[in-house]
Amino acid sequence: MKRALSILIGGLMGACAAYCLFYFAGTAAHRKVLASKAPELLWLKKEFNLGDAELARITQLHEAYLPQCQARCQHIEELNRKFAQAIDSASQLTPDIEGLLAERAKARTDCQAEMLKHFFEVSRTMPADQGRRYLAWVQGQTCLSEAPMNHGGTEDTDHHH
Amino acid sequence: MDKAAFRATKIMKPERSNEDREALGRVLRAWRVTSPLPPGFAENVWRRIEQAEPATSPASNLMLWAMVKTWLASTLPRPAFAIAYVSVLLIGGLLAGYWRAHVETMSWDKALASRYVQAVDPFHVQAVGPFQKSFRN
Repeated sequence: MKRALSILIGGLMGACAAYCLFYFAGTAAHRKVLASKAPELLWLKKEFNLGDAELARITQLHEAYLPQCQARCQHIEELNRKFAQAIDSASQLTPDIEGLLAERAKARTDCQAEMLKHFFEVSRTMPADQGRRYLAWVQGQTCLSEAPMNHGGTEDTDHHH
Repeated sequence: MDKAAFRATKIMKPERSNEDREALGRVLRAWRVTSPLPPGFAENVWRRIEQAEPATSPASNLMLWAMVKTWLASTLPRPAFAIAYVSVLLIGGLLAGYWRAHVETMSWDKALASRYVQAVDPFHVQAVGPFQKSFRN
């Protein structure tokens, strides 16, 4: 019985050890990435098969882009606040509100243009095929691909008449 | 035993005619138990059932365990069976570990991709909450 018990327990312990071994070996690279300073850029490196030099250049571009992006966001937030206040104290469309709408739309457009410029710069840093793949991916993931126009399914009849 | 029951037992003979059967049926239908049950009868029955149950259960468990032990002691030490058993467990462990790692890394990849998009696209997050961007992290 002793021998049978030792085989039984040994098998179970071996299974646990095999599980841990494969789990830790399989996640080692990812855990290293997650523990890094900018894991999303290391993910970009892995996803788009980039070299160290390319990653360094993209990190530089990324770090230069973020403070500018943050400043633009603050500007848009400020315009949103002003716009909300103007709406609250108005009962009809005023030139002030129109001006704020236009200014906010301009700020958003500038933000999107800068974003697109950044994406082009990043894609040019990558090998050509990966750059194209990157551009297609960001286009699908970001606000650059907007939701299709929808008037509750009536747009066809409205537009064709 | 009351009178009706006594009459019923008298009627029960090995050879019964149809009339006897009808008479027996009438007597049985007319038979009513009039004497009351002793106090706490139902509780006593349940208590005896409860007392009887654990007495039988461990015995059957012990028997099952003894059978398992005997089977393990006789089968597991056989080299072919032992190798097969350990191999199956090892392969199962390896596959489970590999599958778990795969699922987890896929989920981390998705999270990192989303984090990158949130970092570069403020409008991406705006749908959820205005400018709660990851670049402020």
